[in-house]
Amino acid sequence: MIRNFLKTSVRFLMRNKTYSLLNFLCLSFGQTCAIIAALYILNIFSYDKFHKNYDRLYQVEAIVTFFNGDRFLKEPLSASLVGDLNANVPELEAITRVVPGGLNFINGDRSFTEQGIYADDNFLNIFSFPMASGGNSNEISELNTIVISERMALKLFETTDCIGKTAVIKDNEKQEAYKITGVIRNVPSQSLLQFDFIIPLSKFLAGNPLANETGASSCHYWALVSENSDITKINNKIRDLIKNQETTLNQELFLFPLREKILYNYAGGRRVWDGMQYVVIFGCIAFAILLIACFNFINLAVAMNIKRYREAGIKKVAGASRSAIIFQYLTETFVITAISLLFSIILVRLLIPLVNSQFNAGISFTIADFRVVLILAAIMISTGILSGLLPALYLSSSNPLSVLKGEIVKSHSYSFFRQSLIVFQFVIPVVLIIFMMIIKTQDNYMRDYDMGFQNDKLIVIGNTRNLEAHEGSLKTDLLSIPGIEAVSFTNCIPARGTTVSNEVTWTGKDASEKLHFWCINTDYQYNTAINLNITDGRYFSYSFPSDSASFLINDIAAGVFEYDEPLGKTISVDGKEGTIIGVFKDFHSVDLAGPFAPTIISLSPACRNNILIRFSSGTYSSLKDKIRDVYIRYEPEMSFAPTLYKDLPSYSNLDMSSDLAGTACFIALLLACLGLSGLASFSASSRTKEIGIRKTNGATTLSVIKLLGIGYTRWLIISFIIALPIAFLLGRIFLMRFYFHSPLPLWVFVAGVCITYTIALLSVSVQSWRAASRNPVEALRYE
Amino acid sequence: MISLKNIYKYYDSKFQRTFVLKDIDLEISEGEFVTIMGPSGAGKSTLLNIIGMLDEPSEGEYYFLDQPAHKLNEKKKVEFHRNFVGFIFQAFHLIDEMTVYENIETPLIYKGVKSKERQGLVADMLDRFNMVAKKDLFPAQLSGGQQQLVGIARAIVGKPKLLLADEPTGNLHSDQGKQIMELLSQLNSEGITIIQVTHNEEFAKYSRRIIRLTDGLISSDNISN
Repeated sequence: MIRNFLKTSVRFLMRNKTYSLLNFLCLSFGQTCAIIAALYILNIFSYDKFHKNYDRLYQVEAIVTFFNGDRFLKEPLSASLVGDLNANVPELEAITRVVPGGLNFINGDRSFTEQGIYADDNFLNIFSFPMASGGNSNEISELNTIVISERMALKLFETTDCIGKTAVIKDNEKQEAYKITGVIRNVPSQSLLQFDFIIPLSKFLAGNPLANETGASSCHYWALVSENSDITKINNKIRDLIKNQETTLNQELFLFPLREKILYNYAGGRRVWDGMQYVVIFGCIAFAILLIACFNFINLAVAMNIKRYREAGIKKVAGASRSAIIFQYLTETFVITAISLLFSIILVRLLIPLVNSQFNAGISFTIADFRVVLILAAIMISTGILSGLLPALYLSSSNPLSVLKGEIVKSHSYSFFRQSLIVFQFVIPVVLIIFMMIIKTQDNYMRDYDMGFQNDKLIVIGNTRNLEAHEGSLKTDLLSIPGIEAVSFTNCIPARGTTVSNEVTWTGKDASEKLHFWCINTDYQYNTAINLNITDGRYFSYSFPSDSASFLINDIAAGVFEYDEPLGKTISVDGKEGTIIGVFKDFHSVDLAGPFAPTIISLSPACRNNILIRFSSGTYSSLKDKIRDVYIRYEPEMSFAPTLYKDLPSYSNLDMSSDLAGTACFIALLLACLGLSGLASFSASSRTKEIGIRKTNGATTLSVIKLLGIGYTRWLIISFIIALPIAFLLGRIFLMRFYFHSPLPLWVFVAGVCITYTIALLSVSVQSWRAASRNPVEALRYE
Repeated sequence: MISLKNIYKYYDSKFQRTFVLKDIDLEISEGEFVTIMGPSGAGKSTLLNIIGMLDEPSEGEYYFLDQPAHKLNEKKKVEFHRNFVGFIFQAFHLIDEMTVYENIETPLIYKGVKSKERQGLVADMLDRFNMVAKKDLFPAQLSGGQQQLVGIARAIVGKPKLLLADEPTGNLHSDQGKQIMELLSQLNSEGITIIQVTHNEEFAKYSRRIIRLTDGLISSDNISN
């Protein structure tokens, strides 16, 4: 029976090539998007699953309440906290502390910077990172021992068999040897923790005694919770552990499950979507595109089924039951779906590298994975049913009587339904286009926003120990390049965040209070480089020798200190006392998603990770090479990677969202237009006679095209009416996320509508023109 | 075999009821060859469709083999089409995507006949109508008379008790028409009950009973010998 069904189906598809090809393309694209999105989501949800204790692993984190009531998440905690946790919370079966860090390894005359971790010796017991060699897990108990990954072993020794060998770490001029006691397999890409080596935490603590201070930000805490324990209870127990030591720290501890780390984050003390955001965006967009593809199918199929209506009627007379006809039609749909699925699989294979590089997705695709097979099957079945069921029901409802009488079957009852499908199809691309443009507007707004400093002609390069050591001569050399005005070492790239300190005191301060301040450590040229908006006083200057112990504060900080006349007042930061010599304003040290933060600038060489270079003349590309020449002189081992400040990846990751919306709207628009032009060709051919009669009565080709165009315009206008409020709401919600956001740009609504309308009309105009320009004699004879 | 009692068929429009059939009483016994004649719009096809259960009467009772057909549900009607009736149409109504062979095979598939048996039955039909050589052609490649032969073969391959023919010769020229009518009377002599609708007085003579309809009423019912 099925064989017979298939045979007629294939013949029908072969005879109607345009129809089949259109359906095939639409379904392929739709399914490709769905597969990629499903793979992306699958990838996110398979993070860290390889850990044996996956469900019982939690990170201990703190939520800090800020002076103005703002709350933020604090991951690193004091190294000494482990004792309190062990003593007070028996439900925590094991606790391991982790400090991430990058170190410079040398091997002969070669050197590599590798990212790794310092960790407690139970780290490899709690997490399941498999050992390649070395066997037992006490590999990291002695002070100068190290466990390295296979990748790093190959890099250093060109073999993974290197237990007992020595790795040399170079820190400034100091070199230290570490005995290799174990080799682990490369950390899977689907792991939250990424590292290439493990060094005992005791080594870190030996070099950083401050890490044990209460309230210090030094170690990440990972806890293995014993089975069947109540997380809320544990949370209640640990919440006030830090507060009990120092009330003013205002930090509340809680457990953050490993399985949610990749999905959620905390912003302002509230749990917000992190990876989840992309899961939802990818999922929704792919579902919408798949829906468009299915609607195309339904629309074309219903249009086409007018031809097949008779066939269904004959079959009924021949004894076919309604279900048999539904079954046959569904079989046919599944044939098309299956063929397009095969094509989609090829497309997915080709597209995955592109998707990975564009969206930083880390997707892999193998048919060998049973989950992938399940996904493919699920997508195929849902696509088949979604697109096949309605036409099948419609077809099976065929009344053999009217069909066989030779009545011309019109699908009037379905035309409303079909038009609503088209309307829906165009709502999606319109919303996406507008949304994409809103994202772009906000992105540009943030790039061009006056953030209280001058942000054009500013180059950022990473600081290194070698550069830091030769600060003076490096600056002289760089400043001798014509066009370069200032070179400043700092820990704060403006609007990209900086160090936070709670060790700030001032006169009149409640001694028990510990508030958080954003501290910028920099040099004399910072102001020349970024041109702060100083409202009162002055910036540091060599002519005042006392400036090395002075501070600049912003107006927000002045407000916190409750100083009406801050100049000349004394404050102390991290135990260093000094005078306030200037007040600046409107400076964004963090980013535009949050409010202004109280900020203090001091002359200090600590933690200055970046070098800002301001140029006044010349172009970035011409200066880049000259800067490189100087750079290599002082730092021959590192690769030179400068960025123009404006090209820095946007802090809020807007690029990815707008790229995603852009790609999605392109595909959605393409599919919707494919469907519309397919439908146009059918409706034009079904109106051949009408057009012929109109033309013999004096209609011109142009007037016929207009006539056909008006029909589509009506549908499009309805979809615009639906799409605009949706886009408006989405845009508002999106912009509200930003503390400083551009006004909702109205022109994008006009532009979105115009773009969609033009593209849609263009896609039908070919069909309309073909129908309209036909010789009426031929058309009427044809009828 | 067929018993129609007080059959009415009408359509209600806003203020008016249009009657197509009025108070039809009709008995047709097994083995008869009946022709329904009458001017256009007299209700011939409607009557045939009601008998074939493609259409339902607005009022009245219809017994087929003593079963109340007017009470049958959708499923039973499908059974009825599968097992008891074959249809022949003026416009042939073959499925364009199927070859001659497959068109004839279709009813058997829905009837659930096994593949081997189907092959035999279809081969018999092809033999009988001398169409073996044409079995792989598509309907568009055949002449009108040949298409109607395929239509008849399809109608009778399932061995129905009743054959309903709605102007089977309407689209054919007279030679082909004659051939088809001879075939029908031959089938009748083999025991199939046939009811045909025609305009053609000459072809009406092939049957033994002629029912004339005028404006939805039976105006005469002649049985000749």
